[in-house]
Amino acid sequence: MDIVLKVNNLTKTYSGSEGKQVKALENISFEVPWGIIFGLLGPNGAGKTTTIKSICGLVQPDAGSIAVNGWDVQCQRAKALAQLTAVLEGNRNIYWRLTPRENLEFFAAIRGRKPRRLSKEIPELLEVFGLTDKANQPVRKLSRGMQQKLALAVTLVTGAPILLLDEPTLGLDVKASYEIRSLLRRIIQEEQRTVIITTHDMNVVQDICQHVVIINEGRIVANDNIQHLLDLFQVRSYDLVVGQLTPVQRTGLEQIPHLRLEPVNSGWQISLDMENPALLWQALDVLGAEQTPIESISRKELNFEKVFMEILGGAKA
Amino acid sequence: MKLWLGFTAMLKKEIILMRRYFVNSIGGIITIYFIFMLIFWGYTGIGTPGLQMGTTVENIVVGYVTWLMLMMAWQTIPYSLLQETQEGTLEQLCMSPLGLTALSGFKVVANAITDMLIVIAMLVLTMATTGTSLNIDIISLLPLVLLALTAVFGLGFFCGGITLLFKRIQSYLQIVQFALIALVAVDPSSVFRWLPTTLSSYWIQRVMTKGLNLSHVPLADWLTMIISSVFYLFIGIAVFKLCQAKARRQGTLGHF
Ligand SMILES: Nc1ncnc2c1ncn2[C@@H]1O[C@H](COP(=O)(O)OP(=O)(O)O)[C@@H](O)[C@H]1O
Ligand SMILES: [Mg+2]
Repeated sequence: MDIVLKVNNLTKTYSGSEGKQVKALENISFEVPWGIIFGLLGPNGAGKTTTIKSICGLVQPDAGSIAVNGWDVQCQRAKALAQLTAVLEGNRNIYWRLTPRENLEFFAAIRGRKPRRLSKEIPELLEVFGLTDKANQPVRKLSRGMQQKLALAVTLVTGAPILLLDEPTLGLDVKASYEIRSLLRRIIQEEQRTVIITTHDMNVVQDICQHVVIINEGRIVANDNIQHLLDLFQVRSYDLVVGQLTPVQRTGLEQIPHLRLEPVNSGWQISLDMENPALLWQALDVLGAEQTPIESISRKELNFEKVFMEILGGAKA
Repeated sequence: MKLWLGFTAMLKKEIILMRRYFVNSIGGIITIYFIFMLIFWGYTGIGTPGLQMGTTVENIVVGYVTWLMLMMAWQTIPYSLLQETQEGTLEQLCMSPLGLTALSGFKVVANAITDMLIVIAMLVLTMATTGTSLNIDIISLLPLVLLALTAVFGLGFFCGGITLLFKRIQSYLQIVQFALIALVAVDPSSVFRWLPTTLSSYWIQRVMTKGLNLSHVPLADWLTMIISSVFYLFIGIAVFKLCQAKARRQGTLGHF
């Protein structure tokens, strides 16, 4: 698999006001393969924006290197920047006094795109992003969601293969957030691009990312395929619903570590957080002794939010 | 080719914005004109302290229009950087492979072209209301104007760099506007001739009021103008780049 972005030992300490030092990144390293939506997840202040801005050459890191399609951001700045485009967090990123069409034309031109090809591409983009009706209205009159969609369209019109989006769904209503996500999925499917998004919203990651790096307090605490992460945590948790238990069985089960017992209408629910698979056999032995009927066994549905909290909890401990 | 595309895009954007906010431009012209009339009445009304020193109405008109041209050229970079910072588009320009310095250069040239329309309008207006006639010798004026603009672009880059580091700089920028009056007005016979725009402003004045042409400008003056203008432009750009680098280290480039 081709690697389009290589971040190596990135470190950044800001000297804030009054000489206060803020450690924003400590030895961050990760690689992004071509053609996926890559998530950079972390709570506020984790260092996501600093990472993105370092990749875009807007922040000068203290140490470490960044290569974009093989070009070094520090030493081969123009070549590296030609490979990427970004929508930054909380910024407008586009000219509010210009119309969507004028914005697309301007940003394409300063990226060296020739007008001839754009005359076909721009109307298509406006159509895909649902902005055709608003193409000639000043951007400041559009809704927040439309402005964000236009910012996304602008990243496409630059022709750069790597899109960096810092909190692209922040402050959007549910519908607009949904639209942005499906546009992103579509970009990945239909265009030859790689998308890197940052977010503190686990749902966004679970919904659209294939791979995630979780950062907290400037350090990477997880770097994995989304499905792996979910599997890893899911496989450890089981819910069993069983029939009536004898008092002996109940004491037996309660002695098993990490096991919770709760009465439900027709019997009992056993929840097992397994550190050790042998515990499940122990529980089954206790049930088997009285031939207790097992009504259901399910792997507990664990969502990404729980995984995230658990990883962050682990990082703190 | 990429540079040319970038430049034409910038020019097109400036023209669109100028047309879209035409009422603002008109308002600006009226204000500028009004300030001129106040100065003019001040001079002619109070009697002649200035006029005795050889100041004529022609001098006032030319001095004022020169100052206006230089001021507009100077303020393009710092004010547009402030605006781009507020509007959250500065980072996009920085991320362009062309770089912020080149794009700012395009912007200053594109703006100088659109601003020149306002300068010419003011010149015609002030000449008409004061009843002066001036020597508009384009061939002679063009190189002098370009040299004056080159130096003032350097000042613009310099102040633009400072703007990147200190966002609350607006009141200081206004002081520079007045400093420009001094640069235009100061007598270039001493070392002041090396000040930015001073000597070229002086020769613009002479061409327009005395009917001189290029052949009257001594070689030494040409050299002084060329060397100092290039020097100020170079220093301005160097400071601009240093300030960008510092803003990158601080993580304060653009919005924070
Ligand atoms: N320019 C700056 N100067 C000083 N501190 C900064 C600057 N930018 C960010 N920080 C600090 O660095 C840390 C990481 O910030 P950031 O990268 O914006 O995190 P995130 O995007 O994950 O919320 C935070 O503690 C933040 O306050
Ligand atoms: Mg952030």
